[in-house]
Amino acid sequence: MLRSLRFERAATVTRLTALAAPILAWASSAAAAPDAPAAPDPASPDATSVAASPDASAPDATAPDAPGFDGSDAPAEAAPETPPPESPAPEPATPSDAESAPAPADIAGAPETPPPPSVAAAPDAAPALAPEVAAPRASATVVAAAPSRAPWIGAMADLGLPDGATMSLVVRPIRSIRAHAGLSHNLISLGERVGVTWAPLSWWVSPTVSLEYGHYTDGNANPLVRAVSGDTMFSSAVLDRVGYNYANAHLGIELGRRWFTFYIHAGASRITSTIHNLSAETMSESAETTSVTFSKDPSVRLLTVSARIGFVVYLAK
Amino acid sequence: MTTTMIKMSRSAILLLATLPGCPLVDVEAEVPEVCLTYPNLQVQSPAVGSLSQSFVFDDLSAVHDVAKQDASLSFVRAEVRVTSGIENLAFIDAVHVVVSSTDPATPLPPLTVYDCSGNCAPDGNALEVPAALVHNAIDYLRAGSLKIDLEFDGQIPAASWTMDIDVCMKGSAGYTVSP
Repeated sequence: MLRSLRFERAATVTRLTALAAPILAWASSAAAAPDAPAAPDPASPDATSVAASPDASAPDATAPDAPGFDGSDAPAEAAPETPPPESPAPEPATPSDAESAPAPADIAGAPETPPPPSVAAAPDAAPALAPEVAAPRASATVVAAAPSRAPWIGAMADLGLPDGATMSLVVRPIRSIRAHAGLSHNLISLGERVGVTWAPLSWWVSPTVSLEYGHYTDGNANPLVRAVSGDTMFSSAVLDRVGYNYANAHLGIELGRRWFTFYIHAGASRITSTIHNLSAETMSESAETTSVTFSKDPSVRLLTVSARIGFVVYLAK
Repeated sequence: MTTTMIKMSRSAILLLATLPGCPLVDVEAEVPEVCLTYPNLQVQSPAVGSLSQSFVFDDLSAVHDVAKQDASLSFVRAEVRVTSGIENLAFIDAVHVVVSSTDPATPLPPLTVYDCSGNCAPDGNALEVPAALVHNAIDYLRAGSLKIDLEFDGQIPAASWTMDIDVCMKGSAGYTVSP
Protein backbone atom coordinates (compact mmCIF):
# COMPACT_ATOMS: atom_id res chain seq x y z
CA MET A 1 0.00 0.00 0.00
CA LEU A 2 2.74 2.35 0.97
CA ARG A 3 4.58 1.49 -2.21
CA SER A 4 1.51 2.18 -4.29
CA LEU A 5 1.13 5.56 -2.67
CA ARG A 6 4.71 6.36 -3.48
CA PHE A 7 4.19 5.48 -7.14
CA GLU A 8 1.13 7.66 -7.30
CA ARG A 9 3.01 10.54 -5.69
CA ALA A 10 5.85 10.14 -8.11
CA ALA A 11 3.49 10.26 -11.07
CA THR A 12 1.90 13.40 -9.73
CA VAL A 13 5.24 15.06 -9.30
CA THR A 14 6.19 14.13 -12.83
CA ARG A 15 3.05 15.75 -14.21
CA LEU A 16 3.70 18.87 -12.17
CA THR A 17 7.24 19.01 -13.46
CA ALA A 18 6.06 18.82 -17.04
CA LEU A 19 3.71 21.70 -16.37
CA ALA A 20 6.43 23.74 -14.68
CA ALA A 21 9.00 23.29 -17.42
CA PRO A 22 7.83 26.17 -19.67
CA ILE A 23 7.62 28.46 -16.66
CA LEU A 24 11.15 27.58 -15.64
CA ALA A 25 12.41 28.15 -19.15
CA TRP A 26 10.80 31.59 -19.18
CA ALA A 27 12.27 32.39 -15.80
CA SER A 28 15.70 31.37 -16.99
CA SER A 29 15.56 33.62 -20.03
CA ALA A 30 14.22 36.50 -17.96
CA ALA A 31 17.16 36.14 -15.65
CA ALA A 32 19.40 36.71 -18.69
CA ALA A 33 21.53 33.74 -18.03
CA PRO A 34 21.95 32.34 -21.53
CA ASP A 35 23.99 29.34 -20.60
CA ALA A 36 22.31 28.69 -17.32
CA PRO A 37 19.17 26.83 -18.18
CA ALA A 38 17.14 25.85 -15.24
CA ALA A 39 15.08 23.04 -16.53
CA PRO A 40 14.45 20.76 -13.65
CA ASP A 41 15.01 17.15 -13.51
CA PRO A 42 11.78 15.77 -14.90
CA ALA A 43 11.52 13.27 -12.18
CA SER A 44 12.57 15.48 -9.36
CA PRO A 45 10.03 15.35 -6.66
CA ASP A 46 11.03 18.85 -5.59
CA ALA A 47 10.35 20.54 -8.90
CA THR A 48 8.22 23.22 -7.37
CA SER A 49 10.80 24.07 -4.79
CA VAL A 50 13.39 24.28 -7.53
CA ALA A 51 11.30 26.80 -9.37
CA ALA A 52 10.99 28.88 -6.26
CA SER A 53 14.60 28.66 -5.33
CA PRO A 54 16.76 31.66 -6.25
CA ASP A 55 19.57 29.27 -6.98
CA ALA A 56 17.62 27.48 -9.58
CA SER A 57 19.10 29.54 -12.37
CA ALA A 58 22.62 29.34 -11.15
CA PRO A 59 25.04 28.30 -13.85
CA ASP A 60 25.62 24.66 -13.89
CA ALA A 61 28.98 23.32 -14.80
CA THR A 62 27.34 20.45 -16.53
CA ALA A 63 25.42 22.67 -18.90
CA PRO A 64 26.31 21.53 -22.38
CA ASP A 65 27.67 23.92 -24.99
CA ALA A 66 25.46 24.41 -27.92
CA PRO A 67 26.57 22.22 -30.81
CA GLY A 68 28.38 24.06 -33.54
CA PHE A 69 29.25 26.98 -31.31
CA ASP A 70 32.71 27.23 -32.76
CA GLY A 71 31.23 28.14 -36.07
CA SER A 72 31.91 24.86 -37.69
CA ASP A 73 29.38 23.51 -40.02
CA ALA A 74 29.25 20.24 -38.27
CA PRO A 75 25.71 19.14 -37.77
CA ALA A 76 24.54 18.95 -34.24
CA GLU A 77 25.22 15.43 -33.39
CA ALA A 78 22.60 13.80 -31.33
CA ALA A 79 23.85 13.32 -27.89
CA PRO A 80 23.83 9.80 -26.75
CA GLU A 81 21.72 9.28 -23.77
CA THR A 82 23.82 8.07 -21.00
CA PRO A 83 22.59 5.46 -18.68
CA PRO A 84 21.19 6.74 -15.45
CA PRO A 85 23.99 7.74 -13.20
CA GLU A 86 24.34 6.21 -9.91
CA SER A 87 22.84 8.86 -7.77
CA PRO A 88 24.51 9.26 -4.45
CA ALA A 89 22.41 8.64 -1.50
CA PRO A 90 20.65 11.92 -0.94
CA GLU A 91 20.95 13.69 2.32
CA PRO A 92 17.63 15.24 3.01
CA ALA A 93 17.64 18.95 3.66
CA THR A 94 14.77 18.68 6.08
CA PRO A 95 13.21 15.85 7.95
CA SER A 96 10.05 16.25 5.92
CA ASP A 97 12.04 15.92 2.75
CA ALA A 98 13.65 12.92 4.16
CA GLU A 99 10.31 11.39 4.82
CA SER A 100 8.79 12.24 1.50
CA ALA A 101 11.80 11.67 -0.66
CA PRO A 102 11.31 8.44 -2.52
CA ALA A 103 14.07 6.04 -2.97
CA PRO A 104 15.83 6.49 -6.31
CA ALA A 105 15.41 2.91 -7.23
CA ASP A 106 11.72 3.17 -6.61
CA ILE A 107 11.33 6.19 -8.85
CA ALA A 108 13.42 4.70 -11.59
CA GLY A 109 11.12 1.82 -11.68
CA ALA A 110 7.93 3.84 -11.76
CA PRO A 111 6.01 3.06 -14.92
CA GLU A 112 4.58 6.60 -15.16
CA THR A 113 7.97 8.24 -15.31
CA PRO A 114 8.36 9.80 -18.74
CA PRO A 115 11.51 9.12 -20.72
CA PRO A 116 14.22 11.72 -20.25
CA PRO A 117 14.44 14.31 -22.96
CA SER A 118 17.23 14.11 -25.43
CA VAL A 119 19.65 16.93 -26.09
CA ALA A 120 18.60 17.22 -29.68
CA ALA A 121 15.07 17.94 -28.57
CA ALA A 122 15.94 20.19 -25.69
CA PRO A 123 19.59 21.16 -25.73
CA ASP A 124 19.22 23.49 -22.77
CA ALA A 125 17.66 20.98 -20.55
CA ALA A 126 20.62 20.67 -18.29
CA PRO A 127 20.08 19.83 -14.71
CA ALA A 128 20.54 22.93 -12.65
CA LEU A 129 19.75 21.96 -9.19
CA ALA A 130 21.33 23.88 -6.43
CA PRO A 131 22.99 21.68 -3.88
CA GLU A 132 20.62 22.69 -1.11
CA VAL A 133 17.64 21.62 -3.13
CA ALA A 134 19.25 18.68 -4.76
CA ALA A 135 16.70 16.03 -4.52
CA PRO A 136 17.37 12.51 -5.48
CA ARG A 137 17.74 12.26 -9.22
CA ALA A 138 15.63 9.42 -10.25
CA SER A 139 15.85 9.71 -13.97
CA ALA A 140 18.61 9.51 -16.45
CA THR A 141 20.59 12.62 -17.10
CA VAL A 142 21.79 13.61 -20.49
CA VAL A 143 25.27 14.68 -21.42
CA ALA A 144 25.78 16.67 -24.56
CA ALA A 145 28.45 15.60 -26.94
CA ALA A 146 31.52 17.79 -27.24
CA PRO A 147 31.21 20.30 -30.09
CA SER A 148 32.50 19.02 -33.34
CA ARG A 149 35.98 20.39 -33.86
CA ALA A 150 37.00 21.87 -37.17
CA PRO A 151 39.96 20.28 -38.94
CA TRP A 152 43.06 21.77 -37.44
CA ILE A 153 46.01 20.58 -39.47
CA GLY A 154 46.54 20.71 -43.19
CA ALA A 155 48.69 21.64 -46.13
CA MET A 156 48.75 24.83 -48.15
CA ALA A 157 50.07 25.66 -51.59
CA ASP A 158 50.18 29.09 -53.12
CA LEU A 159 51.74 31.19 -55.83
CA GLY A 160 52.37 34.89 -55.86
CA LEU A 161 54.71 37.81 -55.59
CA PRO A 162 57.01 38.27 -53.81
CA ASP A 163 56.38 34.89 -52.22
CA GLY A 164 57.08 32.73 -55.22
CA ALA A 165 55.71 29.22 -54.94
CA THR A 166 55.27 27.98 -51.41
CA MET A 167 54.24 24.74 -49.78
CA SER A 168 53.28 25.10 -46.14
CA LEU A 169 52.10 23.17 -43.16
CA VAL A 170 48.95 24.68 -41.71
CA VAL A 171 47.84 24.56 -38.11
CA ARG A 172 44.53 25.94 -36.99
CA PRO A 173 44.47 26.18 -33.21
CA ILE A 174 41.05 27.76 -33.35
CA ARG A 175 38.69 27.90 -36.28
CA SER A 176 39.29 31.54 -37.17
CA ILE A 177 43.09 31.55 -36.87
CA ARG A 178 45.39 29.73 -39.26
CA ALA A 179 49.14 29.65 -38.76
CA HIS A 180 51.42 28.35 -41.45
CA ALA A 181 55.08 27.75 -42.16
CA GLY A 182 56.66 26.39 -45.28
CA LEU A 183 59.32 26.32 -47.94
CA SER A 184 59.35 28.52 -50.99
CA HIS A 185 61.08 28.82 -54.32
CA ASN A 186 61.25 31.86 -56.57
CA LEU A 187 63.10 30.29 -59.52
CA ILE A 188 66.32 31.66 -58.01
CA SER A 189 66.76 30.08 -54.62
CA LEU A 190 65.02 28.37 -51.74
CA GLY A 191 63.29 30.32 -49.04
CA GLU A 192 61.00 29.97 -46.10
CA ARG A 193 57.90 31.74 -44.92
CA VAL A 194 55.78 31.89 -41.80
CA GLY A 195 52.50 33.64 -41.30
CA VAL A 196 49.11 33.83 -39.73
CA THR A 197 45.68 34.35 -41.26
CA TRP A 198 42.51 35.47 -39.55
CA ALA A 199 39.25 34.36 -41.15
CA PRO A 200 36.54 35.79 -38.91
CA LEU A 201 33.57 34.15 -40.59
CA SER A 202 32.77 30.49 -40.91
CA TRP A 203 30.71 30.94 -44.04
CA TRP A 204 31.47 29.60 -47.47
CA VAL A 205 32.89 33.00 -48.33
CA SER A 206 34.94 34.80 -45.75
CA PRO A 207 37.19 37.84 -45.74
CA THR A 208 40.66 37.33 -44.36
CA VAL A 209 43.53 39.30 -42.91
CA SER A 210 47.00 37.84 -43.29
CA LEU A 211 50.45 38.71 -42.07
CA GLU A 212 53.54 36.89 -43.28
CA TYR A 213 57.28 37.06 -43.16
CA GLY A 214 59.58 35.33 -45.57
CA HIS A 215 63.20 35.04 -46.52
CA TYR A 216 65.02 33.95 -49.63
CA THR A 217 68.65 32.99 -49.44
CA ASP A 218 71.08 34.43 -51.94
CA GLY A 219 71.01 32.72 -55.30
CA ASN A 220 72.21 33.29 -58.84
CA ALA A 221 69.54 35.10 -60.82
CA ASN A 222 71.44 35.11 -64.10
CA PRO A 223 69.96 31.83 -65.38
CA LEU A 224 66.45 33.15 -64.75
CA VAL A 225 67.19 36.38 -66.62
CA ARG A 226 68.75 34.46 -69.47
CA ALA A 227 65.71 32.20 -69.69
CA VAL A 228 63.26 35.09 -69.62
CA SER A 229 65.15 37.40 -71.94
CA GLY A 230 66.40 34.75 -74.33
CA ASP A 231 69.87 36.27 -74.20
CA THR A 232 72.06 33.27 -73.54
CA MET A 233 75.15 35.46 -73.11
CA PHE A 234 73.70 37.66 -70.44
CA SER A 235 75.63 37.86 -67.21
CA SER A 236 75.65 40.39 -64.44
CA ALA A 237 77.79 40.34 -61.35
CA VAL A 238 75.02 42.05 -59.42
CA LEU A 239 72.71 39.11 -60.12
CA ASP A 240 75.20 36.53 -58.90
CA ARG A 241 73.82 36.90 -55.39
CA VAL A 242 70.16 37.81 -55.13
CA GLY A 243 68.16 37.25 -51.99
CA TYR A 244 65.63 39.16 -49.99
CA ASN A 245 63.41 39.30 -46.96
CA TYR A 246 59.77 40.27 -47.22
CA ALA A 247 56.76 40.96 -45.08
CA ASN A 248 53.19 40.84 -46.36
CA ALA A 249 50.04 42.47 -45.07
CA HIS A 250 47.15 41.13 -47.09
CA LEU A 251 43.39 41.29 -47.23
CA GLY A 252 41.70 38.45 -49.00
CA ILE A 253 38.73 36.34 -49.81
CA GLU A 254 38.45 32.68 -49.00
CA LEU A 255 36.06 30.21 -50.53
CA GLY A 256 35.31 27.01 -48.75
CA ARG A 257 34.67 26.08 -45.21
CA ARG A 258 35.88 22.93 -43.72
CA TRP A 259 38.25 20.62 -45.53
CA PHE A 260 39.21 22.74 -48.52
CA THR A 261 39.75 26.48 -48.86
CA PHE A 262 40.63 28.44 -51.95
CA TYR A 263 41.87 31.96 -51.46
CA ILE A 264 43.03 35.13 -53.13
CA HIS A 265 45.06 37.57 -51.07
CA ALA A 266 46.26 41.02 -52.05
CA GLY A 267 47.83 43.89 -50.24
CA ALA A 268 51.19 45.41 -49.61
CA SER A 269 54.63 43.95 -49.17
CA ARG A 270 57.83 45.32 -47.78
CA ILE A 271 60.88 43.79 -49.40
CA THR A 272 64.40 44.39 -48.18
CA SER A 273 67.56 43.26 -49.86
CA THR A 274 71.26 43.92 -50.18
CA ILE A 275 72.88 44.52 -53.53
CA HIS A 276 76.14 42.66 -53.85
CA ASN A 277 78.98 43.15 -56.33
CA LEU A 278 77.73 46.54 -57.46
CA SER A 279 81.30 47.80 -57.76
CA ALA A 280 81.94 45.21 -60.44
CA GLU A 281 79.27 46.86 -62.56
CA THR A 282 80.42 50.41 -61.96
CA MET A 283 84.09 49.60 -62.39
CA SER A 284 83.44 48.21 -65.84
CA GLU A 285 81.92 51.55 -66.79
CA SER A 286 84.68 53.61 -65.23
CA ALA A 287 87.00 55.77 -67.27
CA GLU A 288 90.73 55.87 -66.73
CA THR A 289 90.49 58.91 -64.51
CA THR A 290 87.42 58.07 -62.52
CA SER A 291 86.15 54.89 -60.99
CA VAL A 292 83.15 54.37 -58.73
CA THR A 293 83.37 51.76 -56.02
CA PHE A 294 80.93 50.70 -53.35
CA SER A 295 83.04 49.83 -50.38
CA LYS A 296 79.93 48.72 -48.51
CA ASP A 297 77.00 46.98 -50.18
CA PRO A 298 73.94 49.18 -50.65
CA SER A 299 70.63 48.08 -49.19
CA VAL A 300 67.28 48.43 -50.89
CA ARG A 301 63.81 48.67 -49.39
CA LEU A 302 60.83 48.19 -51.64
CA LEU A 303 57.23 48.85 -50.65
CA THR A 304 54.82 47.60 -53.26
CA VAL A 305 51.53 45.91 -53.95
CA SER A 306 51.50 42.14 -53.88
CA ALA A 307 49.11 39.28 -54.38
CA ARG A 308 48.87 35.57 -53.94
CA ILE A 309 46.55 32.76 -54.92
CA GLY A 310 46.40 29.39 -53.26
CA PHE A 311 44.47 26.75 -51.43
CA VAL A 312 44.44 24.86 -48.19
CA VAL A 313 43.59 21.22 -47.74
CA TYR A 314 42.93 20.15 -44.19
CA LEU A 315 44.07 16.67 -43.42
CA ALA A 316 42.96 15.82 -39.92
CA LYS A 317 40.84 16.92 -37.07
CA MET B 1 23.01 39.93 -44.68
CA THR B 2 24.12 40.22 -41.12
CA THR B 3 25.32 43.33 -39.37
CA THR B 4 28.85 41.94 -39.32
CA MET B 5 28.85 41.46 -43.07
CA ILE B 6 27.53 44.96 -43.63
CA LYS B 7 30.25 46.45 -41.45
CA MET B 8 32.93 44.46 -43.22
CA SER B 9 31.62 45.51 -46.61
CA ARG B 10 31.75 49.15 -45.58
CA SER B 11 35.27 48.74 -44.26
CA ALA B 12 36.35 47.11 -47.51
CA ILE B 13 34.84 49.96 -49.52
CA LEU B 14 36.66 52.50 -47.37
CA LEU B 15 39.92 50.65 -47.83
CA LEU B 16 39.41 50.47 -51.58
CA ALA B 17 38.65 54.20 -51.67
CA THR B 18 42.00 54.96 -50.07
CA LEU B 19 43.98 52.75 -52.45
CA PRO B 20 44.44 55.34 -55.24
CA GLY B 21 46.43 57.44 -52.82
CA CYS B 22 48.90 54.65 -52.22
CA PRO B 23 52.00 54.24 -54.37
CA LEU B 24 52.32 51.17 -56.53
CA VAL B 25 56.02 50.97 -55.91
CA ASP B 26 58.14 52.87 -53.46
CA VAL B 27 61.84 52.12 -53.58
CA GLU B 28 64.46 53.45 -51.25
CA ALA B 29 68.14 52.62 -51.44
CA GLU B 30 70.67 53.23 -48.73
CA VAL B 31 74.28 53.55 -49.76
CA PRO B 32 76.60 53.26 -46.77
CA GLU B 33 79.59 54.37 -48.78
CA VAL B 34 80.34 55.04 -52.41
CA CYS B 35 83.72 56.36 -53.44
CA LEU B 36 84.98 58.17 -56.48
CA THR B 37 88.55 57.11 -57.08
CA TYR B 38 91.14 58.99 -59.07
CA PRO B 39 94.01 56.60 -59.71
CA ASN B 40 97.69 57.30 -60.09
CA LEU B 41 97.81 61.03 -59.51
CA GLN B 42 101.42 62.03 -60.21
CA VAL B 43 103.23 64.44 -57.90
CA GLN B 44 106.64 65.88 -58.68
CA SER B 45 107.92 68.52 -56.36
CA PRO B 46 111.07 69.90 -54.71
CA ALA B 47 111.41 69.97 -50.96
CA VAL B 48 108.74 72.46 -49.91
CA GLY B 49 106.46 73.21 -46.97
CA SER B 50 103.21 73.17 -48.92
CA LEU B 51 101.99 71.39 -52.02
CA SER B 52 98.82 71.81 -54.10
CA GLN B 53 97.46 69.38 -56.64
CA SER B 54 94.26 69.43 -58.66
CA PHE B 55 92.40 66.89 -60.71
CA VAL B 56 88.95 66.37 -62.14
CA PHE B 57 86.54 63.45 -61.89
CA ASP B 58 85.35 63.81 -65.43
CA ASP B 59 83.21 60.70 -65.83
CA LEU B 60 80.38 60.53 -63.34
CA SER B 61 78.08 58.50 -65.56
CA ALA B 62 78.05 55.69 -63.03
CA VAL B 63 76.38 57.94 -60.48
CA HIS B 64 74.25 59.96 -62.88
CA ASP B 65 71.24 57.68 -62.39
CA VAL B 66 71.48 58.22 -58.67
CA ALA B 67 71.92 61.95 -59.09
CA LYS B 68 68.74 62.20 -61.17
CA GLN B 69 66.59 60.66 -58.46
CA ASP B 70 65.37 62.10 -55.24
CA ALA B 71 68.70 61.40 -53.62
CA SER B 72 70.88 62.85 -50.96
CA LEU B 73 74.59 62.30 -50.71
CA SER B 74 76.93 63.66 -48.12
CA PHE B 75 80.71 63.66 -47.98
CA VAL B 76 82.06 61.32 -45.35
CA ARG B 77 85.79 60.91 -45.93
CA ALA B 78 88.66 61.13 -48.35
CA GLU B 79 91.61 58.81 -48.54
CA VAL B 80 95.05 59.26 -50.02
CA ARG B 81 97.11 56.17 -50.79
CA VAL B 82 100.67 56.31 -52.04
CA THR B 83 101.22 53.78 -54.77
CA SER B 84 104.84 54.52 -55.68
CA GLY B 85 107.78 56.92 -55.15
CA ILE B 86 107.76 57.34 -51.37
CA GLU B 87 107.39 55.03 -48.43
CA ASN B 88 104.82 56.77 -46.31
CA LEU B 89 102.90 59.98 -45.62
CA ALA B 90 104.32 60.70 -42.20
CA PHE B 91 105.58 64.11 -43.33
CA ILE B 92 102.08 65.51 -43.69
CA ASP B 93 100.84 67.91 -41.03
CA ALA B 94 97.62 69.07 -42.66
CA VAL B 95 95.44 68.22 -45.63
CA HIS B 96 92.64 70.28 -47.13
CA VAL B 97 90.37 68.88 -49.84
CA VAL B 98 88.29 71.41 -51.75
CA VAL B 99 85.44 70.38 -54.02
CA SER B 100 84.15 72.63 -56.76
CA SER B 101 82.12 72.39 -59.91
CA THR B 102 83.72 72.58 -63.33
CA ASP B 103 80.64 74.20 -64.79
CA PRO B 104 81.30 77.94 -64.85
CA ALA B 105 77.60 78.64 -65.06
CA THR B 106 76.80 76.97 -61.80
CA PRO B 107 76.54 79.06 -58.66
CA LEU B 108 78.00 76.29 -56.52
CA PRO B 109 80.86 77.61 -54.42
CA PRO B 110 84.09 75.73 -53.69
CA LEU B 111 83.76 73.78 -50.46
CA THR B 112 86.45 72.50 -48.14
CA VAL B 113 84.75 69.20 -47.44
CA TYR B 114 87.60 67.15 -46.00
CA ASP B 115 90.14 68.54 -43.63
CA CYS B 116 92.68 67.56 -41.03
CA SER B 117 95.20 69.85 -39.43
CA GLY B 118 97.58 68.77 -36.72
CA ASN B 119 95.49 65.69 -36.07
CA CYS B 120 96.16 63.89 -39.33
CA ALA B 121 97.03 60.29 -38.64
CA PRO B 122 98.80 58.68 -41.60
CA ASP B 123 98.77 54.91 -41.54
CA GLY B 124 101.84 53.99 -43.47
CA ASN B 125 101.26 54.93 -47.07
CA ALA B 126 97.60 55.86 -46.50
CA LEU B 127 95.95 58.84 -44.94
CA GLU B 128 92.25 59.17 -44.18
CA VAL B 129 90.80 62.66 -44.04
CA PRO B 130 87.45 63.11 -42.33
CA ALA B 131 84.60 65.25 -43.58
CA ALA B 132 84.81 68.83 -42.45
CA LEU B 133 81.15 69.67 -43.00
CA VAL B 134 77.84 68.07 -43.79
CA HIS B 135 76.77 69.12 -47.23
CA ASN B 136 74.65 67.56 -49.94
CA ALA B 137 76.96 66.50 -52.74
CA ILE B 138 74.23 65.79 -55.23
CA ASP B 139 74.30 69.25 -56.80
CA TYR B 140 78.01 68.93 -57.48
CA LEU B 141 77.58 65.49 -58.99
CA ARG B 142 74.80 66.63 -61.29
CA ALA B 143 77.22 68.97 -63.02
CA GLY B 144 78.80 66.00 -64.75
CA SER B 145 82.31 66.50 -63.45
CA LEU B 146 83.89 67.36 -60.15
CA LYS B 147 87.06 69.30 -59.52
CA ILE B 148 89.18 68.40 -56.50
CA ASP B 149 91.94 70.62 -55.11
CA LEU B 150 94.37 69.00 -52.68
CA GLU B 151 96.62 71.00 -50.40
CA PHE B 152 99.27 69.29 -48.29
CA ASP B 153 101.15 71.05 -45.50
CA GLY B 154 104.31 69.60 -43.93
CA GLN B 155 107.86 68.66 -44.83
CA ILE B 156 107.20 67.60 -48.39
CA PRO B 157 110.22 65.63 -49.66
CA ALA B 158 111.83 66.25 -52.99
CA ALA B 159 110.50 63.29 -54.90
CA SER B 160 108.30 62.07 -57.67
CA TRP B 161 105.51 59.86 -56.47
CA THR B 162 102.02 58.66 -57.35
CA MET B 163 98.92 58.23 -55.27
CA ASP B 164 95.26 57.20 -55.50
CA ILE B 165 92.60 59.55 -54.15
CA ASP B 166 89.23 58.37 -52.87
CA VAL B 167 86.41 60.84 -52.33
CA CYS B 168 83.74 58.98 -50.44
CA MET B 169 80.09 59.78 -49.78
CA LYS B 170 77.09 58.14 -48.22
CA GLY B 171 73.47 58.69 -49.00
CA SER B 172 70.10 57.44 -50.00
CA ALA B 173 67.89 57.59 -53.04
CA GLY B 174 64.17 57.08 -53.46
CA TYR B 175 61.83 56.39 -56.33
CA THR B 176 58.05 56.19 -56.33
CA VAL B 177 55.55 55.04 -58.91
CA SER B 178 51.95 56.04 -58.27
CA PRO B 179 48.85 55.03 -60.22
